[in-house]
Amino acid sequence: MKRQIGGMFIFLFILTAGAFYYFKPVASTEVQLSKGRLGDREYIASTLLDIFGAEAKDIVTQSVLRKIDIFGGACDPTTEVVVDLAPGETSEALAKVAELHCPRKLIDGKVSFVPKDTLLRQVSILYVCEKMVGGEKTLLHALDAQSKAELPPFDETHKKTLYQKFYPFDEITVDLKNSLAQTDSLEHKWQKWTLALCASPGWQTL
Amino acid sequence: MKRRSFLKGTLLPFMPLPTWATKAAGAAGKVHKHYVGVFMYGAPARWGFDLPLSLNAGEEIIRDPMVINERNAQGDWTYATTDYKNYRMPSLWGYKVPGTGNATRRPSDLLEHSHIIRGVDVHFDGHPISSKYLMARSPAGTTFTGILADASPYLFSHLALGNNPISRSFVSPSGKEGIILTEAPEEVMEYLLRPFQRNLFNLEEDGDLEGLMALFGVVYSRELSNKKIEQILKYYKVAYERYNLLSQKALRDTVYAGINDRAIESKLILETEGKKNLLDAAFDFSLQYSYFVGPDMRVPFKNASLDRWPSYFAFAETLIKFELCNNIVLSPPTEMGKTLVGLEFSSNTSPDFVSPEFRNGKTYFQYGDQIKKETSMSMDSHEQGAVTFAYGNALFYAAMSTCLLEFVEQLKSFSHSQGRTAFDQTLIHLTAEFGRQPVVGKAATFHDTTSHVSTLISGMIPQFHVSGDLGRTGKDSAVTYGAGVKGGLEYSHVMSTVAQFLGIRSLIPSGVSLVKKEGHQFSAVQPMGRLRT
Repeated sequence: MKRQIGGMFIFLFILTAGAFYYFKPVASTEVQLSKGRLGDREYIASTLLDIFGAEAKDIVTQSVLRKIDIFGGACDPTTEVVVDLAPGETSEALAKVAELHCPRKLIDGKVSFVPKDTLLRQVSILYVCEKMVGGEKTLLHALDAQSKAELPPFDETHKKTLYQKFYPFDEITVDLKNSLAQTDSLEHKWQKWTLALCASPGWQTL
Repeated sequence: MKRRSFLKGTLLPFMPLPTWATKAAGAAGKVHKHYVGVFMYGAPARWGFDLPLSLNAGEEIIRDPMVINERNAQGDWTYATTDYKNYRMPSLWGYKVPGTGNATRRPSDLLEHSHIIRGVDVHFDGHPISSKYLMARSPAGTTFTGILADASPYLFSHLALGNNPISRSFVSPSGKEGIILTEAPEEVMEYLLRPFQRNLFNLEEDGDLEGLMALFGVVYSRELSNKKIEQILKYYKVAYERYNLLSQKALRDTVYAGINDRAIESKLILETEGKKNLLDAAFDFSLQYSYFVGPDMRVPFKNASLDRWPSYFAFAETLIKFELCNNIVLSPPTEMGKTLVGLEFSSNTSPDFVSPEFRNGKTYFQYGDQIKKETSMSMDSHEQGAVTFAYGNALFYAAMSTCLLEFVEQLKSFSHSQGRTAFDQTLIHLTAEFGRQPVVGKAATFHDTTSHVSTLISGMIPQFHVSGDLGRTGKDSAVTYGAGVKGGLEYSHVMSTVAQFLGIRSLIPSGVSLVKKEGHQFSAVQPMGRLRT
């Protein structure tokens, strides 16, 4: 009996070691963050524009909408893009919009519909977010403030308000008490908090 | 304890923050090889370049109207060869092509460390499907570039330039994603690196912000400082200009005996015997549903360029120089891979502008007004007549070998791990989805799935070698032009050979590697020009 139990242990050890060897973790330089499907360039762009306002349009256009290879979101170059023209906008504006959504025509149709979770995408978001929090008007828009003098206090309530702009349907899972160095100005604190939220991967997942 | 120190000691080790600490020589001493795949999507004919039709001087080469690469003294087109060591290679290997400054280089220098594998059966005919099988053992399966990526310690585990089934094929076992870049040469490096630039905060020196980033699971790279990004961008720009200049010199300023040393005239065809369409009548000079007319064929080629290849080589050189990636796939920017772009032809020689009339046993052609149009030569060369094809391919391969020579020269100057150069640790894989064969009875070429050629260039290769059965050349025209023989080489042999060089497992281990490791080099296991002993 003892021998059988001993044999079983040896067998289990070999099985475990074998399984570990077979399924050993691979060296990874690019990490998979997203648990679900990532939003494509249109989703990312519209979220950022909602939060940071119209002043963000140029940087979002250049660094997100036009980066089709990075953010994914193929277009159908044979289909006219349907957009609402603002009063006074002409068909030229419409052509520009169509060009924006499908700038390279057929090539853009070949881009994967499912956005890829790459390091380049992750740092690209950080790059855009830095631009957002570095711009006075965009930061103020995100914080619902009219001027730097009216920045909200850096407290749990206001941190929660901003958090919910990025994660409107999620429970808050981070510690809102997390404070920053007292030497930081109020603006700097908000810039850092907004930057970390903006660059966080969670809201980019559908 | 400072917040930063605290986080480093507690939270950060569990965060997926890449450190990129180990590179060419890993912590465990493993040497990570570089793979640079040069995929000529469209599959141009290779018999003017790296497909030797016979190796030994006594062997006959079966002639074909399409298998030409040079004009002799009488002005007749012929298939010419040059001696390389004891072997007979296509004449291009005897050219002199431009080097940096006023120097010239010999393409044959590439052969010194080359292993050409010819007559490989890839089984599938169709550009996209064959391309998939070049990378994986099933169309959606793990690619060998994916296996290499999973083991890569580099910042970018896989980069593919181009937009076609080759560049889009990447699949890794771990689910890691590769990056495909389709931007124009002037923008591609900027596109890749600019997002790494930090504009507002220095995350390295701001423990508070670093802590917040960790709290929210933000991933960023510490590898590229703003200064280094500028340094790399500057290097790439200079390298691109260098390759561009070299390829232009190779295409425009270099005289190749038997190719562009004399004018080639093509006259307008006004009538022909029998009932023929225009392109059949003018096939020698045809190009993509048009044909060349003029006193000197050098004229329409005077502004030709090598499409994006100069920027591709500059890109690969820069990535290796700065140790950013060891897994690079280069392929044309679209599904219609081009050998040369920027050719100037007349539109009136296209069938759309010609009225053929058949009477009294002859066909008469009437042409519209001449309008210049820019055109290009496809790698998928179905509609290229013999002369246009031979002339264009000679220039293309001369320019490609110019770029390859420069690339190799640069790799030799970069020190790598264990006292070796980057060339000693890099495998350049020059290939396409399948081979081509001349079409019997018609001046044209078509796909051939048994004629695949893979040329491997590396400091890991000790001497020139050709694998593939050359035993029936001179007896069988298909074999002469590169077709494999029954029971001969399969692509699995190529895949296992590439895997052997790169130190990764083969996706199709049933295909035996054609090389074996000897020290840091890999010698051929088959006799020269033969599949089996």
